[in-house]
Amino acid sequence: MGGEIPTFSLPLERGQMEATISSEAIPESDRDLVQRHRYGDAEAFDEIYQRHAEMIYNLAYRLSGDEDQASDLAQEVFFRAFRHLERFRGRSSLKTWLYRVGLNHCRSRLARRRWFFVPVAEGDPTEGLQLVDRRRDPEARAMAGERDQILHRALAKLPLPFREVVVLCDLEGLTYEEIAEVLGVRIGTVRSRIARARGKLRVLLDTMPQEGLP
Amino acid sequence: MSRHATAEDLSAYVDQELEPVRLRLVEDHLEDCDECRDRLDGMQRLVGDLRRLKRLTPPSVLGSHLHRRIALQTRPQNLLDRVESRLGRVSLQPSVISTFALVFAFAAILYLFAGSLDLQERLRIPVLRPYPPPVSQEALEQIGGRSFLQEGGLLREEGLPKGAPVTKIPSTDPRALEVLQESPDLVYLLDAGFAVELEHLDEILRILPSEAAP
Repeated sequence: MGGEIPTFSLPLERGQMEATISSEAIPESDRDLVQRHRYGDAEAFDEIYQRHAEMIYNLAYRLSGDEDQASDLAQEVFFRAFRHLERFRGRSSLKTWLYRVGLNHCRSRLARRRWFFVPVAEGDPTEGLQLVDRRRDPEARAMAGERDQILHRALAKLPLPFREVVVLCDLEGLTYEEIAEVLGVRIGTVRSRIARARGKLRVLLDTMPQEGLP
Repeated sequence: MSRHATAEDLSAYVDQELEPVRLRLVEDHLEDCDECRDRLDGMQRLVGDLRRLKRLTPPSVLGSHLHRRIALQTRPQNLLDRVESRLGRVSLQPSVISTFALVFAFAAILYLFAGSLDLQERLRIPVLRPYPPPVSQEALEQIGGRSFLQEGGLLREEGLPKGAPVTKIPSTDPRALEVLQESPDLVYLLDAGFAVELEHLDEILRILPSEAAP
């Protein structure tokens, strides 16, 4: 991966200006990559990994709550994807398929443990979760970091089915239709589950001690 | 829309996932209802905060570890490698290890106590006895002071009147047991599958080997 981007020169008609098309302008679709992988092209999976690593890693991180655990989980997810990519029929997007593989794997792993990694906050709790603009000054950034921790802890306390939809919808930005595909449920179920999850999250944020906020 | 908007409506409204008709109803209601506008603001702040949560970059080792794992998986394997990898996979599962350990422990206990409990006798396990030397004319003459001639699978005592009635009995018959008590070496011949014909108390008996007994 990486390396020089190949370019293709088109044959010119008389009087036409020279034109060059870069392959970068025409990104290869995920389905083409899957096809190349099926034909044994090792670089195809590298490209798939590059495109989706951040997405799967963050999913694993938000579901497990720990960076090391997320790294292990993400590696397992991609290894599974590598072994089972031939089963991908293209009925959904590769992104949705990877999310499904990732979610199933995280569920099975996380179901074995009853704990969740929660960062330890420092300082005294003084204020609730009042939203502040993320300005560029250090104080605002520090507050934003602490708020991230509070949200992270609240997420950790959400039951897994609710945590999943919040992560997929609000953190990963999937549409309701995509979430329904990933979870294998109807859109109506997704809609109500998200609403309930947000309600529970709001209650958690209102009741939990707000350590670390100035 | 006379009643307040539901949490599900507001949640879907924030995600722009409301159907057009429902969207219009909710928007109309929001224009007139301060309470629902406040609830909507709260939900928008929560969702905004979640969406601004910092995304993590996957560690660089994740890709290299995955590469190495895939390389191990895809390299051509000889038989030894395949066995090794299978064993490696099995060894990852604690349940398999504990099962093997239990089976091994049980087998060890059974082996250690088999002698003292005399299990061979209890279970009627056939005991291997020293086998007699190959049957020969000389050897036959030594058995119980009698001379025997071999006729196929039958060892016939020398000198028996021809045409006399013969009583066939199994080796477990009381008369056979009397004979075997007198000449214990005959047991070896019966075990070897020979039938033995001899005179006993004015009667000609043919002692059948245990497998062939009627």
